[in-house]
Amino acid sequence: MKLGTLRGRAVLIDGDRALDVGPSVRAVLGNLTHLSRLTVDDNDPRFTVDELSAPVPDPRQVFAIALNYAPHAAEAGYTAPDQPLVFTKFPSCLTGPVSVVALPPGGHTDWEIEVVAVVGRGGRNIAEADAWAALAGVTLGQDLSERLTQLAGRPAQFSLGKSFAGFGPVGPWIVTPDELPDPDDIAFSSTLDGVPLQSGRTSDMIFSIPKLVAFLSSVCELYPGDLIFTGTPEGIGNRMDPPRFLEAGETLVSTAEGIGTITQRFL
Amino acid sequence: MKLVTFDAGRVGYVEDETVVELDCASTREFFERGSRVPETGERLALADVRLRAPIVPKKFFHTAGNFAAHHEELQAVDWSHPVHKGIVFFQNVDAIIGPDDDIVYPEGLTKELDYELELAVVIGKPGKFFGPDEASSYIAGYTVFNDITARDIQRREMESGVFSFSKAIDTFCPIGPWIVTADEIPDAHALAMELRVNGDVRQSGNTSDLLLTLPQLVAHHSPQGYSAGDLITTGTISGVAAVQPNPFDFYLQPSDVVEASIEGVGTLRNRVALWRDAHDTEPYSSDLYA
Repeated sequence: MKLGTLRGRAVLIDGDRALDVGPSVRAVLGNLTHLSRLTVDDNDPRFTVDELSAPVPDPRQVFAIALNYAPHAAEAGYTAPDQPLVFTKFPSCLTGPVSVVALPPGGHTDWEIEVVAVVGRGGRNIAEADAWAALAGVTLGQDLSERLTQLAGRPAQFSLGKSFAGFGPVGPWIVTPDELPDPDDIAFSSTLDGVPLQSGRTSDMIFSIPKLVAFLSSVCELYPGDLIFTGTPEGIGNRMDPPRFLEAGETLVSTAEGIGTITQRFL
Repeated sequence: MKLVTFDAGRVGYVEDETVVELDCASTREFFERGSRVPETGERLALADVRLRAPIVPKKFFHTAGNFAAHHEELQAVDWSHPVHKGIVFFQNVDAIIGPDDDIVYPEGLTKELDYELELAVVIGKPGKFFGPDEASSYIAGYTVFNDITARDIQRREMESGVFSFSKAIDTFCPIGPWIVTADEIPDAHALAMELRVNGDVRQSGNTSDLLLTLPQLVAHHSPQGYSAGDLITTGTISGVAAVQPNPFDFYLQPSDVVEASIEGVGTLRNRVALWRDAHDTEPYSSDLYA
C-alpha cells in the first residue's frame, strides 16, 4: 500500500492515480486494516508527484538520528556511538517531495539523504521484534542542514540548523513494509545536477529501524504519523575536501528503491 | 469491518471501542460507491453513540423454510398451505428498527407475537441472473435479523397462501447491530445461532444446517435484480414460539428482552414495548383482523 497527502487529503496511491480516504493521513495510520481493503481503480483521479505534500504534513514528533552509519561517523570525526544520538527537525520544516528551497543567506547548507520510518500504531516500550508492526511504513527524506547554525553552540545543538524553511522534504509517499522485498535493506542514492553524491543501504545502519523504534519508544510514546529520520551515510558536503555546499540553481534528486524519488531545487 | 449507522444517520465503522466516521450519507451509499468511502476524520467512543439499524435497503428479500428442522416443526402447525422451499417475499423496509430500539406490541392487532432469528446477507453490488459460482462476489456482509411475526395474522393470511402483513407491521423488522463485512467471516456456513428471551435460550442452531447454501440462495433471488445494499434473509431455525406445544407460554410479551445472536456477526437486542409506551393512543385495531 502507498499512502500520501494530496491537496490536503489522505490518499491511497497506485501508479498515478489516488483514492481519497479521508482528511488526515495521521488519522488513518493507527490502523491500516480498513485501508487494506481498498484498491485504487482506473476511475480514480490522476495526480502528479509535485502535487503531493509531505505524506504526514503534521506529525506530532519528528525524531532524527545522527551518525547512524559507521563511515559517516568516521568522516564526521566521531567514533560510532553505542546508543542512538537523537535530535529533532521541527515539523514546520517539512515539505512535499518536489520543492524549492531558499538557501539561508551566508549559510553552509548541506544534503543528507535518509530513509524515514513512519509510525503507525506506535506505543511505548515497543520490542524490536514488534517494531515493524508498530510502524506504518517508510518514506524518503532529506535532512537538509545549515552547518554553521548546526555547529555554532558549545556543545552543538543540531535541531535549529536542520529546521530552516523547507529543510525537511519528505516523500513521495509512505510505502508499507509488505511492499518491500526487505524493509531492513533499502538501497538509496542521491545526485546533484546529475553528479552522484551519496549512496547506501539501510542494512548498513548501526542501529536498525527496529532498534531505533525500541530505543525511542523506551523514552517517548510514539504516535501515529511520527517520523524517524534514520540517519545518513557518508558523502556529505561538509566533509568533502574542500567542503562543498548547496548553491542556488542546483537540483538535488534523491531516490530509494521501492519508495520513489524526491526532487529539491535551491534558490 | 463492522459497518454502523449511528446517531442521526451518520455512517462509520467500529475499530476496537471507537467509531470511525465515514463520509457518506448512508450505508447504502457506502456499498453503491464500492465501499470506497473516505473517513471524515471524526472518531467517537462507541459508548457515546447510539447505534441505528445498520442499513435501510432498497429491497429486502425474505426466504421461507430454509432450515430443515424449522421446516419440519412447521408441519406440526398445520398451515393451510405448505411453505415450499424457495418461496420469496418482500419485507416492508419502513418496519426496520435497529439495536436497542423497541418492538412495539400492537395489542389491537395480535395476541401471538413471535420471534425468528435469521442471518441476513448484504448484497454489495448490482446484478441479476447469475449462478451460485458468481454469487459469492455479490455477498458484501452479514447482519442479524429478527423476523418478528404476528402468528394469528399469519394464519389468516396463509388461508390465501400469502404472508406479508403479519411480518410487516411497524417495528417488526429489527436488524443489526452492524454489518460485518464478508472478509471477516471465514466460513458463513459454520456460525452458531442463538435467540434468547429474557436470557432463556429459545432458538439454537447453526448456519451449517441451511438447506440452500448462501451462494445458492443469492443466485436463486438474482432474477429479481439486485441493488447495492439489498438484504436477503436466509430463513429461521427451529424453536419459534408457534411450534411449541404451549405456544402462549412462549409468545413475546411487553417488557420481554429478545437477544438474537449469530457467531462472528453480533448480538441484536430489542425490548418489547407496550403500545401505550410508544404511542399516546389506544392500541390500533382493525375490524379486518378482529
